Amino acid sequence: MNSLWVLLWWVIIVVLGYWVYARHVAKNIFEIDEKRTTPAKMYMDGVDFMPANKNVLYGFQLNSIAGAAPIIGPIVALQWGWVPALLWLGLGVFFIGWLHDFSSAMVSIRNDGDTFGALGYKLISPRARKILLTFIYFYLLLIACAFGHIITSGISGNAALPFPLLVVIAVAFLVGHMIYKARVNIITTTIIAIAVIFFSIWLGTVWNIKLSYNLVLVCLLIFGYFSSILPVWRFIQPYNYSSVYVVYFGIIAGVIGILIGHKPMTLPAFTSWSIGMGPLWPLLFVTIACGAISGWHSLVSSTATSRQIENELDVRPVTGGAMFAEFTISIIAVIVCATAFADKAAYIAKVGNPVGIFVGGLGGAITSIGLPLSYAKALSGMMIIILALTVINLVFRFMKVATAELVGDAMSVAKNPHIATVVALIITFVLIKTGTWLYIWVLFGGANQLMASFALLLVTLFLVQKSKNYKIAIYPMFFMYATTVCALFYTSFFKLIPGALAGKKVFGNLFAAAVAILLIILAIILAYDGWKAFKKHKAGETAAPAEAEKVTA
Amino acid sequence: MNKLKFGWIKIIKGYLKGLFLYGLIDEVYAEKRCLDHLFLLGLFGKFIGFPYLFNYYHLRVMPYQIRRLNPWQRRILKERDFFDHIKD
Repeated sequence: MNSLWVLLWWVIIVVLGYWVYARHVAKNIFEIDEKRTTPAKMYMDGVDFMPANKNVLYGFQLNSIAGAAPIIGPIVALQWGWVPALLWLGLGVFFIGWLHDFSSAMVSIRNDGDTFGALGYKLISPRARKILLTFIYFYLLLIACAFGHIITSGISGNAALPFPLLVVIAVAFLVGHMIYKARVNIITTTIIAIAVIFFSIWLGTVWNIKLSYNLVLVCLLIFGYFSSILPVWRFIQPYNYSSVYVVYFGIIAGVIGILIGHKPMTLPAFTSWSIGMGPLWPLLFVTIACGAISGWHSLVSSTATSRQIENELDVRPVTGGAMFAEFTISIIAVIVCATAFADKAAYIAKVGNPVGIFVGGLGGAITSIGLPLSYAKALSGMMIIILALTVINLVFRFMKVATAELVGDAMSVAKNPHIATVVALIITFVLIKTGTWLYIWVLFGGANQLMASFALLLVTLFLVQKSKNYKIAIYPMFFMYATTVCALFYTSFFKLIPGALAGKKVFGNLFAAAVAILLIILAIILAYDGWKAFKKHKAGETAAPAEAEKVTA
Repeated sequence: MNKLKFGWIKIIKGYLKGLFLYGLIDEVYAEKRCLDHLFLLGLFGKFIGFPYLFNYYHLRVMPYQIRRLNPWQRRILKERDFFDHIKD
């Protein structure tokens, strides 16, 4: 089948999802009111609460939610065939994905811009905030391990990447200094940065540097340490700014390449209901997280976006629109990979190194616009590694804060940023070195989707409290909850523990299984509290527990 | 026709600003917030026992800044947890 037919599926989902279903939900269920004052206007302080134009916010939201996961997930999930991957991507974003992002922002907006911690406290139970925080710590750990391996295997497996990556890091420091300290014009700074980065990618193709896996891993952890410790303006922000041009150039070049090349899909449409990783349900639904639905988006929607929305009418284009854009990125990933390999065996041989698969796929597509293959492959590799490093940039920073919040009161040493960061780095190092990446990716997807089901639980409780039709949120919530808990259960009890008992990667597999079991326990506790809160709200009792009322007062 | 054309340019400009520049702008606001905290603490700190450093200038500036007292108070007293740091 020609890959252009896949674009028809994309058009159907976007048109019906965004312009029909999303419009109906926004208008009839959330009763969007353009005259209602948003928290950004009501509490405008020029910092946290600040109204922003919807187009600006759309760009910001897309930049915040789109990482490497919408590309890696579909690449791994092609093992079941590209039809199941496309079906889940389309139906997931249609019924759950956009709704999750949109409603998370709406619930926060209707609750004075409260974050999930405060909302969980108010709508579920006082201990919900602590449970969410514990959950998020391990969720971040899984992110660090999953993306840590992707970066490490990607760089060590491609000798064209180390040099341009070192240049990107150096350019980030330079850009930070030029913008914030030397006050150089931003356009001049940008032109210099882009020229140096794109030239270094070419230089990398002629000046290959082969690095070992262990060396790259250590360098990555040092990178993580500095991105956690340094001020945001010094490194993270300039890095994101200067490197994002490579990513968007890669995406645009890839889309044009797909349209020009319109190659046939060479991988099988469907392989089997059950593969080495496990059965299609529940594992496919957690392997593809971002692109269909992702819990991370709810955190962005409820903390940043909800406090900057100028008008309730803007919520659908900003959150829903960005989600459909991320779905588009996943569709591109499916097409470039399903058209890149001659047969399934060639693809399966590379599945442990998704960067290699993506480089082969997107690199091939980019050559259609006239770039040499070596440059196109290096560009694709840089694109995916840059996206993954963007995630690593933030993960250790968040883990540092989460450590301080979780155990800071009991152990004051945990409040020390250096110690908290080093502890997070050591745990990550151990899990990457001793774990099995494919299963860690499943656990990361499971944790991510479980976060999404918690967000949908909050949305359900909000709709129940307001006597609105909560069925649009509760069914997706049940589906995501059951799927993710089953996926975590299956991976830990049928893959990780038996693997450890058979003597394969004993420590790493047991450690990963323990994390999965902990996440399941936390999910069960939260579900129990959620059920009690649901009954309370349904009966029309006061939403918040007594302690919460006191704190609010 | 012109209106439509410029409307599109405006949309694309806004979108690109959000995609590429908003993070940098946000960082400048964060820096401004730190300086604001210091400035307003110096100005209104007397209410919480922080001594005035320059009485004359305080009185000169106060009428122009008094409207900022409420938002500042709300921001300072707002409970911040882990989830608030995600934006940072």
